[in-house]
Amino acid sequence: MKNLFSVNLKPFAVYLGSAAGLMTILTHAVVRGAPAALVLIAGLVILFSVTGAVFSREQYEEKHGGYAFLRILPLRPSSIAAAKFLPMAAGTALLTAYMIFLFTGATEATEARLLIRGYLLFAGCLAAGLSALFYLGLFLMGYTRFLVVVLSATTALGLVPMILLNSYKGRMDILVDGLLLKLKSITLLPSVASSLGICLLFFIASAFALSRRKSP
Amino acid sequence: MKYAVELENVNKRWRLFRLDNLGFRLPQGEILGMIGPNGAGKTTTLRILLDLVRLDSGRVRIFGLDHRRHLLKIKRRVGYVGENPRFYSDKTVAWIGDFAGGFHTNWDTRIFRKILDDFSLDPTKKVRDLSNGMRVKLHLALALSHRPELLILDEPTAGLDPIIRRELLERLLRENRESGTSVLISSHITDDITRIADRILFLIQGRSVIHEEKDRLLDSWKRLHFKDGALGGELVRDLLCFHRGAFGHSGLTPDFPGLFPLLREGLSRGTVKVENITLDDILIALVKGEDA
Repeated sequence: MKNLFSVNLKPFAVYLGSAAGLMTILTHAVVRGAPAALVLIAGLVILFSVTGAVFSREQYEEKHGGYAFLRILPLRPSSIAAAKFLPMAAGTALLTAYMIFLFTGATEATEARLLIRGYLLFAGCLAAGLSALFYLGLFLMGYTRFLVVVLSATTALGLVPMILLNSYKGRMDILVDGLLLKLKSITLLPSVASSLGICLLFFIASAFALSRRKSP
Repeated sequence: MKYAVELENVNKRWRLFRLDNLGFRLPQGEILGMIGPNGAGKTTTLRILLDLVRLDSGRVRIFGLDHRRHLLKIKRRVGYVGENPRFYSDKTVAWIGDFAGGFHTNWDTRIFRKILDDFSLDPTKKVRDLSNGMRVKLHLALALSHRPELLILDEPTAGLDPIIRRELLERLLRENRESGTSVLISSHITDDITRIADRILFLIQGRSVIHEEKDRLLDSWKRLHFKDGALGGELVRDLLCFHRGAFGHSGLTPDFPGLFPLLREGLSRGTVKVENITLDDILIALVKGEDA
């Protein structure tokens, strides 16, 4: 089992380590502080580095027939799924914690710190939840088919800001204020508990999907 | 008698193919060769054993254990070599061994290294740099290094040159004789099966047509060459792959010992001759019957 965890840990170490390094350099050496734009980017970096690591590993598995090999070894589908979910969840938690530490440390105002913490926690939870959902999709459909689904869904999601802009025309401040208030109210325990719960549900579904998956 | 593999009324339906009430048993310590044309269900049957393909109905027991309920236990006692073995191709042979070994409680690195050595496989070589034959050898090394009690081999010699084929078969025979490992092997190359198998299973269109000890099978199936009038009409009608020639006729019988008393006279007169046949001939006769 140790082997399986270590091979799945590697892409997360690379992607999340790079993300943390990049944001550290930007905060301390380039921007020298935590302007709103950089915080906004940090949330996206959490999201894309975690999901990027997930897709990178699964692309590797598909390319090298990893699942065909794993299925002939004495391994439970739940062990294979656990070796995917645990590094993802732990990596997301570590990166999110580091980002919160990095940006709240670079900010003086208490209000701003609350907002940064809420926003980054939200980004971390979203990254973990989406990755868990992606694992289920990948196990159900395989890498190539699921990638097409995700790309189509991402394109469709691009319409959301346009719809919002259209429906809040002239009242954008109301929308932004509402969002900021919601982000400030996000606290550690409920957000971690809810994202862990979501991950657990998707883990169980993923293990089941793996056990039902047709042999390649 | 203890059985390594038992299948009872196994059914599996795909869109264009089905396994139909398949049943057979492999006694422990024996080698069973599965022969059949393309699409007969050999690969599906072998994959069902390790639950790589889920059966629709029926029962599969390996070492007396239900194959799905005890899958993990079974996989620890079974070595599997599938068609077109795939590994992490950017890793080295040694890495693959270490990785796979981590999942087997009785993995023996010394055996793995010894087999690599026997097969002249360089442990530092990356999998992507191995030829097809070398990959099969690596797969066999992985399948043997946890001292399996049963080997399931799906066309392991397909596409290999005769030298590597011979090496693999000798290794299998050695495992069978020295460790009592049961072997279930499918192959298109019936020569390979003839060389190593104790029992033969002919699988045609998802059905087990013949399951017999090899020696008994080859003793029963013979080609008869005979002159006009040397055999009775009824007897001739029962022959498979019947050929009428200008100088004599020939056909296959699946029951030579049963026919022997009727042939004795012709044999002594020289109007009937008996020829041994191969598993290929039997397969063709089973698939094409009287039209062959």
